[in-house]
Amino acid sequence: MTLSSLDASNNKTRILVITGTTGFDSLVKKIDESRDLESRYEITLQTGEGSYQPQYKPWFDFDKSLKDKLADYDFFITHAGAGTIFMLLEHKKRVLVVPNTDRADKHQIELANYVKSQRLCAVCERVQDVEAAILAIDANTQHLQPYAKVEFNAVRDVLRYIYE
Amino acid sequence: MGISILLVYGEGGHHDQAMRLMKQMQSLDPNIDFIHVTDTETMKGDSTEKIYTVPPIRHKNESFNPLAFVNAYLKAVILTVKLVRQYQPRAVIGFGPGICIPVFMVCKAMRVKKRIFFEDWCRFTSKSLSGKACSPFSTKFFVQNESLKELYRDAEFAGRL
Repeated sequence: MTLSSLDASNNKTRILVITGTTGFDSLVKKIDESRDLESRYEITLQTGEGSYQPQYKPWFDFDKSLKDKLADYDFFITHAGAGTIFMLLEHKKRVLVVPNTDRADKHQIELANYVKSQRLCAVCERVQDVEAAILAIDANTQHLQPYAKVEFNAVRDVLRYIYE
Repeated sequence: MGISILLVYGEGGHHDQAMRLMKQMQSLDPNIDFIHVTDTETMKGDSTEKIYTVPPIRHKNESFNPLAFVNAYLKAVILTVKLVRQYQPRAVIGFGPGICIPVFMVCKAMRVKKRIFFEDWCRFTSKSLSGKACSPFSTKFFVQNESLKELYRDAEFAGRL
């Protein structure tokens, strides 16, 4: 560690960790307890309904206006919730996805595989590897593909169908 | 006031998809009266007027509990019967999760003619429980990822909300 990395926090890379409504205790705990990251990164944790309360890093449980605050962060780490991932990609953000395997339903893997195969986000499959993934977040999210969304185009058809 | 439409969704992504569709529909037809049926308290803060809450059919972090299931199921049935009688909706639009199943069944039995289901946008290679169960009760079925058309034969793909 060099002295320059101990500068004021405004030089640090700002990362927001998003865990959705459900929360993702094992990920939040792992990142919160990774104290070495603090010299280089300013990490904020969104905990949802998770039961682990962060000890070392700033956190909040919910923020309905998150969408308006994306500009405050350089990178995003998120559970593989489609709502969050698609929203971040629509705003052209650089994203590291960690599928939440704490959950009873395992479909988060499906979306993680998709964004990985399409090269839309960096993916870290296991929570225990997240510290290394954060240290490489810049390199791993540098050459991702832009998100080409096919916008839903059947609203008129749906209305016509309902009225017919 | 225009026609009524039942909008059925859960929390998180389900809610986001429902809101996106609702906004698009409202921009074309501001008079539609949307009746919201949801299985979460999180949305209570939203300014939606007609919002009805039922217990969730299955908690995300828990395995299947038959008693809770029957209770939630019955409550959803009773509520849907009440709402269909009260509002005479022209259509029901569901996004998942399990709460949609009893609602769609009751809507079919009570002759709500247009029953539209949106399979979750997070599905690429597998069906969701509610998608699987609601497809026989739907009259129109959308998938939001083209790869799913192989699994749902009668589904339409018209992009992602």
